[in-house]
Amino acid sequence: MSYERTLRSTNIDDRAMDRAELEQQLQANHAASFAWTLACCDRDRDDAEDVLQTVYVKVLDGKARFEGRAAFRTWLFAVIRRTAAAHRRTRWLRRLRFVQDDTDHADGHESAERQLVRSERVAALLRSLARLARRQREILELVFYHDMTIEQAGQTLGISIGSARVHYQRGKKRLYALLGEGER
Amino acid sequence: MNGDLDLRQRFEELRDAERSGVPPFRASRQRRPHSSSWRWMPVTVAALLLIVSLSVVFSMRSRRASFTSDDRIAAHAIADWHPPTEFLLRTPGSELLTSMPSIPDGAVRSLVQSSKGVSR
Repeated sequence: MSYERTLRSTNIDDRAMDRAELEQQLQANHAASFAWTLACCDRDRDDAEDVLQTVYVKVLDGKARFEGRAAFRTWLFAVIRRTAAAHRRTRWLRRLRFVQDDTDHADGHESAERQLVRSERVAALLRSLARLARRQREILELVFYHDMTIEQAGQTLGISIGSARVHYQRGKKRLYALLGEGER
Repeated sequence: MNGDLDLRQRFEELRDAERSGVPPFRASRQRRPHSSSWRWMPVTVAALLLIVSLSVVFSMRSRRASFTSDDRIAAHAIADWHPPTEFLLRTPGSELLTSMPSIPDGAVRSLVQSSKGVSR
């Protein structure tokens, strides 16, 4: 299923779902969810995989309940964002305790950034995004990467449309400036 | 808007590049978070509590003073000492401020009788 078709098919939810439907929706949104998780985890692939798995468990066990107040994808992205934030908060503790974990994972996957270096434009975009404020980065990713409207992006981030617009405009302006700096 | 278009293209390139690295849904669904994620939590908390309580005990022990009899004598001597110029601080009539004045009974009675005479 193409990315755009996936988006269309998942923006029509307005009701609670049973487990099978949830699993189906999660599967349909999997690629976009992973990309968003990657963005929320500062493009650390291992963290992203852990966070996404935690989100799936939360959703399927009913700890995070979809009540149809927003599109399924908007709601799912908000859950991912919150879970990633919690994951970030406890990261220092995990790193303190399990130094060996980092070494285990280091050889398991090539880092996302290294995989993307082949495209200089993409690498420049990632570098510039990393220098933006988190809110600005998140809103730009939601709008440009995930084709959300500013309103949907605001809902995902839990902020008003006014704030979302401000973050969007400021983020875009700064991103242009950073990309321009990089190309000079 | 050329800028928006360029940005959109860049994000599309990023999306294409990242799409190739998406793990299969089943794998994500079944993947366990870091096996050790909370296993060592109780041990870590217990160790932290032990360290904190030991440091509190040691700090309290080092703060507790032990006095010898000589120390006590010296402390009493210091408490009992008065400066030779202390009398200069005493003002005339200062005893009135620290004691209750007593009025003789006869004076009270005569005062009461005189007040009765006035009221009649």
